[in-house]
Amino acid sequence: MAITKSVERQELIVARVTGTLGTGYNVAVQGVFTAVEIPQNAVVIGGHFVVDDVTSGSVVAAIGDSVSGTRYGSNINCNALALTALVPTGYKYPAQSTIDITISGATPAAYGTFELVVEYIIDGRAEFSQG
Amino acid sequence: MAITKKSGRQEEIVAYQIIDYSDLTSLYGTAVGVTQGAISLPVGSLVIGGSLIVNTALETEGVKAVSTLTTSTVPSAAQVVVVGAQTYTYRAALSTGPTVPNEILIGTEAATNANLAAAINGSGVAGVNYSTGTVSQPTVVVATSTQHTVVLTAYRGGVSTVATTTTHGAGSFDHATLYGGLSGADTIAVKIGAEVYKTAADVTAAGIFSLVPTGTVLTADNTVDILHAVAASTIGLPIAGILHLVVRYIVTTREEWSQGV
Repeated sequence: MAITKSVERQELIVARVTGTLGTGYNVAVQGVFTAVEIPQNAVVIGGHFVVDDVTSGSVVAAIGDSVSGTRYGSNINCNALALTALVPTGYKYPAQSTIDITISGATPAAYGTFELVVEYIIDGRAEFSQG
Repeated sequence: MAITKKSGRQEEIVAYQIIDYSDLTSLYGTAVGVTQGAISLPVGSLVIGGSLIVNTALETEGVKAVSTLTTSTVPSAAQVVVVGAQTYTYRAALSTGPTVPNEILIGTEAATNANLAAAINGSGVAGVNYSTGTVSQPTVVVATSTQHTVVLTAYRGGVSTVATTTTHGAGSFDHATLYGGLSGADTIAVKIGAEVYKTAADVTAAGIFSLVPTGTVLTADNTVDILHAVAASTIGLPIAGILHLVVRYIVTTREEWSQGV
């Protein structure tokens, strides 16, 4: 049996969220923070997490969802300026969900900023045909 | 001379193809590798990324390991056959009160071999051919049983470590462990024509492999192909696995809007 080639094509969907760390800002304590809503059948195929402005030491972030908090990245140092690429896993969401940022290690006391970019597609979405 | 800036802009296009193991061609007796088209791309396409995702490990039925017990007459009571962790004991009469698992009833030579085969396969009648409580082998089956032979094969392809030994007074195995097995050792490469975007990747475990763009703009319509290869031409059918192929591309002549001057 041969592969039945799909002619469905879609454009990449990109969600971007920015946040602040530290006492009195968006993320002031350790825990799980929902960042991006994604629909049923979404598949994350790329993205990144950027620390634009460092917070206090020992604060680390993980990127995932309610099933696996580290699905796309873990142990990202929020006390160092860096871009960390998300690692796609091919996981297809069986229901609407959220991409979450989990902050652990220490309470973010000092002011800092981050940016999360999530690139995803939706299985079954067809904007046009090709092939 | 300066660069002439281009104002044409386009959104990235994504093609997403789910490939089930049943979509893959049988390689048995034909070749160790087969190329199949997976995604069509138009002229002007430039692949800028993507990935091959192994959601469920791909498995192709390999060559099953074999060991043959050859006999010339019936065994004596209390002699044994060992298959893996299981020891089968020949008995002139099956134990009762209490029953003892893994006993094989001695009959004629052919019947004795058939009883052993039934015990290993979990067929026949417990309490008649073999003792009640005997559990069938999880990783070995008897392919054939005759008056003088019992041919044991691994349930799945691949190298086997299942021991096959006996104290049978008039019989012996040709190999002390199941022998001659070969795993599928599946790999998949992603190509467009002769140009490789992912070299042969081991797809026998879940994982993700990035496609590496080459910078080549297609000069004609073409397809993104997958090259499924296995260890040897004796390998058989794909029997498990789900792959996702994500190809991210632009079309160099496509302009959806302008930005800049």
